[in-house]
Amino acid sequence: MTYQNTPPSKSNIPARAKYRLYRVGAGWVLVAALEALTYTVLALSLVKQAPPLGVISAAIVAILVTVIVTRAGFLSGAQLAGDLYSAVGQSLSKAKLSWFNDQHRTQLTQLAERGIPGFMSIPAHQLQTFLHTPLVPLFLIAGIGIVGGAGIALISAVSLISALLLQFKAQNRLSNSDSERYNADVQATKSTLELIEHIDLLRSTAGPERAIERIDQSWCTQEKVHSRINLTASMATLISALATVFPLACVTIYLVVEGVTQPLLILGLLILITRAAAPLGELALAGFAINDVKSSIRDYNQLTNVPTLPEPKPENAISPNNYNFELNHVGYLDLFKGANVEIVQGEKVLINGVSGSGKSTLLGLFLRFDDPNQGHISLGGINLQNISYDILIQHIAYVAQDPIIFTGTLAENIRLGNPEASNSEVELFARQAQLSELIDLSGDGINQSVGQKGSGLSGGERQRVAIARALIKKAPILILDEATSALDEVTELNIAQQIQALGSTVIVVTHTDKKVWHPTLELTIDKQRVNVLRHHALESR
Amino acid sequence: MINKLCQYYVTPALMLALRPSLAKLTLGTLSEIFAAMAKIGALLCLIQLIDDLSNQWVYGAIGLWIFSALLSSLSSWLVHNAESLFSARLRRQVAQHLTRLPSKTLSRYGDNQLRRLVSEDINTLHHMVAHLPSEFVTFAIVPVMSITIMLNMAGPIALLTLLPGLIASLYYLVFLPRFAAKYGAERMNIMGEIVTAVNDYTRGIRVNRVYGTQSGALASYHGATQRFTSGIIKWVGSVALPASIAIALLQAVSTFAITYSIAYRLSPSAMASVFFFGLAVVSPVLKLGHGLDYVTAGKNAAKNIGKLLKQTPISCGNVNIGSKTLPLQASKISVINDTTTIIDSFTHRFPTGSCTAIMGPSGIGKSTLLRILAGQEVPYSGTTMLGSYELSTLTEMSRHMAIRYVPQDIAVLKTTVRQNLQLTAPNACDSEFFDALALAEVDINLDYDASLLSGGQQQRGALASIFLNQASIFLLDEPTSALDKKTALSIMQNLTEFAQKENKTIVMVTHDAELAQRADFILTLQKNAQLQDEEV
Repeated sequence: MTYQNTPPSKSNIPARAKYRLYRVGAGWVLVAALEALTYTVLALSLVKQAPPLGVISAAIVAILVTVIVTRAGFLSGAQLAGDLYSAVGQSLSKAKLSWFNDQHRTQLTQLAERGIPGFMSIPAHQLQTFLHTPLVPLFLIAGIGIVGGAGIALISAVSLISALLLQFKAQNRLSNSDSERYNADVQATKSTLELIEHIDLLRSTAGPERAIERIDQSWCTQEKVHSRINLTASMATLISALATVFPLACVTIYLVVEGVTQPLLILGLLILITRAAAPLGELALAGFAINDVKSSIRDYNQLTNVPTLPEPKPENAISPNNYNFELNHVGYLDLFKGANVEIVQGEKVLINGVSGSGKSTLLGLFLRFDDPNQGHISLGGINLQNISYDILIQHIAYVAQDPIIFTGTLAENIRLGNPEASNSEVELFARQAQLSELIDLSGDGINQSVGQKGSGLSGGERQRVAIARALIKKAPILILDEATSALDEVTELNIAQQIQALGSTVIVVTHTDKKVWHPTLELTIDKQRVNVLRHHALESR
Repeated sequence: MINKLCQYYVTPALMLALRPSLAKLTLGTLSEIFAAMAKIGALLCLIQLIDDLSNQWVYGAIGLWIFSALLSSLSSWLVHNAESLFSARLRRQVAQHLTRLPSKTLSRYGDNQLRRLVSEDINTLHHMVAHLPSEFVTFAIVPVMSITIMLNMAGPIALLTLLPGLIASLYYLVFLPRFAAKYGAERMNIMGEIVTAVNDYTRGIRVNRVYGTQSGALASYHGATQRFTSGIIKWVGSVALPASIAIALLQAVSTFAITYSIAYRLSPSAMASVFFFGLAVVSPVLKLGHGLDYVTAGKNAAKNIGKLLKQTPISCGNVNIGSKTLPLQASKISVINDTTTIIDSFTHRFPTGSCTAIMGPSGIGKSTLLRILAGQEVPYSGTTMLGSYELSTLTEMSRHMAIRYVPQDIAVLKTTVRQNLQLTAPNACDSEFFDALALAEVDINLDYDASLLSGGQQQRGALASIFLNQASIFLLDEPTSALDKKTALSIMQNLTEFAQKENKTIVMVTHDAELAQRADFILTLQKNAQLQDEEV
């Protein structure tokens, strides 16, 4: 019932996972039928005071089928989670860089942490709630008809339906407030991420008392929403409690009014109606579950339908056979346009421009973080769009403006550049990146911890780790975005010399002394134009 | 009872937040107990009705049902209300405590761990506290009353109906915990890994893209999710059958089959008592099925939060120096990292109205020193003095009012430029913001999203907040690292003028010699902790 319309039509849930869900669903329908049958046999035996053999055999069949279906539900739940996790992983690796904004980040965290584990319970619990739970009363009405006649079956049906409507009304009010709850929770999660990520900024800027002001605001909103929901929820508890006993009360009154005097018949009917009414309470609570599942499915679909940059078909993909970069009338947003330049393999290129002129953006285009809005960039004569991304990045090493360091050891951070690198190789490149002092300081050498996201390192050390990571990749093209801004001049010079000696193409954005890089080519972004200045160093060599 | 539970699960640090909610919790529990008793009374009326078909039993039952529904609704409200007030107090206490911990203590915690402490752990604890009262009723009051009634009406043979429930409970109480202890912790760890991997991947997306999918955060995501999947399939595979049997036994079908077999010769009312109360054990065991994990989880959460609250915050006293301008002085400060001495007995006086540049090779401890001067880090030994006061004797507000520290990492909140500046000056007007931004050599729209600005613009935004600040001491860590030379020098000019004119003390860490030359003093930290002092 409710379940069928939850996954939107363009759902990305893998087909085999769906098939498993349908099979378990059919199982729950069968369980409901067998259970109702057993109760009916029980009531009939009661009235006839028959020996318990019939009841026991019906019960055994029902129990066996329940065992089989429940087990299948558990197993397919686990498989479902696995399928969904790998689908999200696929989409993470394909999504265009600009898609990774704050909102999508928060949603991804929530999906990985709660959404997908929540999906696990769909076959085991939700299907049971949405199929088995409503079907048992339905089948039992037939049973009541067989035991007590049409009149009492009608009364039971009417009272059960009214009870269900009551429950739905209560549930509906709850689910209305539920989307509000979801929004408030998302906002609170966002604020939590903000607090944890920017705790240094917040406490040094806003001070000890006001540091939590922003998170406090979103907590207050959340608490107000929760308090309103508590009121609605306790009203729902009241209605639900009354609705659960309503059918039993109706049938009792009917029996008294009709003057039924057979004690065992009364008992049998009371048992049947109690059983029929028992799942109604659970149905009412299902409102919470369905809303969580719904919003998780919405998130899941949104996060697996991400914008990507076009990739060439494998048969059309071409690998470059030299490393000459060429920019043809390249333009990007309102930052620059009409950029034309050829960067020959082995050149040292310096990109200049005032802050905010788009230097990092231009670097990003070489790495295909996005495609230019106008013109195109080619490597070895091939448009970047025709080179598969995996191949392209094999040729490029990159140091970002923010030297992103991950929690772990020095070696783990450096080895990202070349997962195959041996320990001695990692150490060699770390020393080339002027990290000797740090390595020798600790007994753990390259296996020392860098602290939480690199917080155990100084700013300069972090940059040098990022440089070592780029060097160990031994790529023919090296792109450095303010890679040495936190280094002292001697260290910077040493590193620049190491890089000069490699013979790779080097493309650099820097604010410090540009002479250490011995540029052969300078690109200057000025008033939306990219000016080219060639020093003839390369030819003279 | 509740007091006992609190003592057992809840540490004194948590009691502070819990105590104001205790009265409501107790009242909620009592309502729940009476609601359960009324419900049982209604069933007794029905049993009477089977023997004696008269209206009074019907009215009695209906009255008791309504009474019970009202009470349990009231109880639900009371308990949840009490509980949400508790977690509201607690999470603020935790967040506030976090902001007062030394940087070094904070860096011992992972991001994921910190996030858990402020959100999930509190929610888990919330869950436990909110559910305990009704659990008490389900697990103790209702079964005891039901079994007593059944024994009285049908005799000891009625106990047999409890069998399916008891067998199922063995699964939840004996079998599952033994498995769960092993797999549960492992699963929690893997979940943590998955979330960390997602966060790491998205945070370092640029680096991750370039270094490919075979390594890094995406690889650890795939690794973690694969381990999660194979772990969960293994776990489910080994418990699925026993779990399914337990669940099947808990269906009323099983109990009723036994009930009928033992009771079909008894009197109708005795039989009715076994049918109505025979599920006495099943309902609590069903609840076991929904998991009492939350009790363990709640206990762990309480332990984690308690441990965090026990971490020593940066100490402060109660001296208030008001807006006095006092000189900053470091006296015999030593910093020891593991076993290596980074800074050895550093003593220096920073004169007011001047700008001092701290230079020295990377890793020598410049940033650590600045954090110590700012009072965000505790040195191994030595003191920071503000005039004649030790920094640790000042109230934290007074310290914050006097000293403004700008950390090295360029960071902005993902919100408007205005709101970012308002962190420093909540009451300043737009024209004051524009003046400050102009002194920081940047012209940006206040409504612009600060996180979309370039690194250099963000840094100048942070510098602008200096000119908005009433503090007398400014500690700046690499304040111009993302700026071009020309802009950096002209901001430097503005800063030194600002220091002289307003009698402020500026201390900045830089590696740029040209910039340092514009300062009034240069302090060069050298290895083996020698200090070179030079007046420019």
